[in-house]
Amino acid sequence: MAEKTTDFAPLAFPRDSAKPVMTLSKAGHVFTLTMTSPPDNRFNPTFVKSMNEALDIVEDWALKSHRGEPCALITTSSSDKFYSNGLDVMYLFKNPDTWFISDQYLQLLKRVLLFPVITVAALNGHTFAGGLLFALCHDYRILRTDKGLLSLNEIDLPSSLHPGMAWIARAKLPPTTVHPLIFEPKRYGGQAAVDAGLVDAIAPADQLLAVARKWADQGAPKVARAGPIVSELKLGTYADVVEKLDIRMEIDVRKFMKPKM
Amino acid sequence: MSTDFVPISFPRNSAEPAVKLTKAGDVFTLTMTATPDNRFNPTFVKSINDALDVVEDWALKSHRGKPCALITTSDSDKFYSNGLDIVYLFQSSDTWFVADQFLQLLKRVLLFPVITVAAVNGHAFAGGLLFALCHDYRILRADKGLLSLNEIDLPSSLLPGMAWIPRAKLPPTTVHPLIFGPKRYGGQAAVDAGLVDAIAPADQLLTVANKWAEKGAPKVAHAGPIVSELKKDMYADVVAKLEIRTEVDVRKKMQAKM
Repeated sequence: MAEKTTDFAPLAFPRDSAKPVMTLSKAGHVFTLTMTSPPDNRFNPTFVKSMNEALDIVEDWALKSHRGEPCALITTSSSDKFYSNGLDVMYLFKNPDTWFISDQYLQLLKRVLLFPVITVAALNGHTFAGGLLFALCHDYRILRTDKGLLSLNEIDLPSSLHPGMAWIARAKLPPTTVHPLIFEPKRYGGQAAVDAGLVDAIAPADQLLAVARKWADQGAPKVARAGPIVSELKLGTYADVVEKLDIRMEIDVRKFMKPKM
Repeated sequence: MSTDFVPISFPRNSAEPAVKLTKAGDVFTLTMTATPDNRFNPTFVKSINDALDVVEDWALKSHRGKPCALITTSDSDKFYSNGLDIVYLFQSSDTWFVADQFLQLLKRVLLFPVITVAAVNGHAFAGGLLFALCHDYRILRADKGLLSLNEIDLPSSLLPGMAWIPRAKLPPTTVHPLIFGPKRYGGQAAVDAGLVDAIAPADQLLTVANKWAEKGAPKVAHAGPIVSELKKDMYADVVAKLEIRTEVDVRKKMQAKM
């Protein structure tokens, strides 16, 4: 497919911040959202807001300003070690925002799960807990061959799983993967992650984005032709997950977790 | 055992029957004969229901306590079924056909009182694949015939019941590419993905399907109406969603392909 010169100037979020937590760029029909929040891209209000702003741009492009044109989204991380380690527990300890998980984090998971374009998570590093749930909400996952483990390690924190979080794993993974993933908790990497149904493919580090790009290019025409029906199909297929993600629960992490510095 | 059943075609006394029902041993075979690609419209659905009535009556009433099973297949070399008759839906403005006839037929097959085997001798796309997935087992022709849920390319959304059949019957790692690829599966890949139970060369397809049907035939002899009850227990969520009545106007959502 011929590469179009990019028609989109890269943006960083938060806008005009000295320390952006993510960047959005575009090449051909594919947007790439790169998480840049050191050390390990944890979800807190700034991170969630930045991500929503980036997603707003992609959604507007695909469904409004460039409706009828191919479009897809890759997410990845600028860290060599981590894709994302999930919730910013330190933040939640210091700023006891007991509605953050329900109203911001879970709603972001729901948004990604139902996103109007095909989404590909390029997992270039460790992907744990809430970070893995975020990745599972994408259409496809490509994992770095040599490095990067996937785990739902809530049991070791210890932390329980909100119904919506548990249900993402139940809906998207083979039952034989779900149980060890949550209860050992088993860590999956490389080919084992493919065999377990956690990721769709693996690629060497220097080819990861190229492979993710292939998957994104293949999925980009979907929204061009189907428009809002892509989201409708996702809602139809995962209605049960959405219902559980919408359950509002007050969660005070200080009651059951100890932050790790 | 010589057959104790004379073949019937449906609609009865039609010059162009849509469905043929035959029997050999304990196994009925329902052959779809609606050229070119066995699409679901009112005539086709009624013909299938009439054929299913005969099988159901045989198994639960007139020959109650005897082994019985059902194979479905197609007489087309190319297609098992391509799903809904979009041209009919476009021209007729029958906005309750999908909910009241097609989905109810899917539910009927899903809960059918005898073991059912789909001998998938050709392409099974969209509603045709959903119909096949409602069977107990699927045998696919080894050399030809692809399976796909290509609604995203029509484009069309899936009604809750339609989306729930793959969720209930297929591994999650198959569901997503199947719907959003849409990935097409054939041959051994279809077995590996959990879409079909076995593959067989074209000239052995019905023989292999018969083996599976014969293995399942004693179930209704022993369990009677409990076969259906078990299916309902196992797939109660799918049934609940298939029963949701939604008006579907394809003219609003799709461009008809002639």
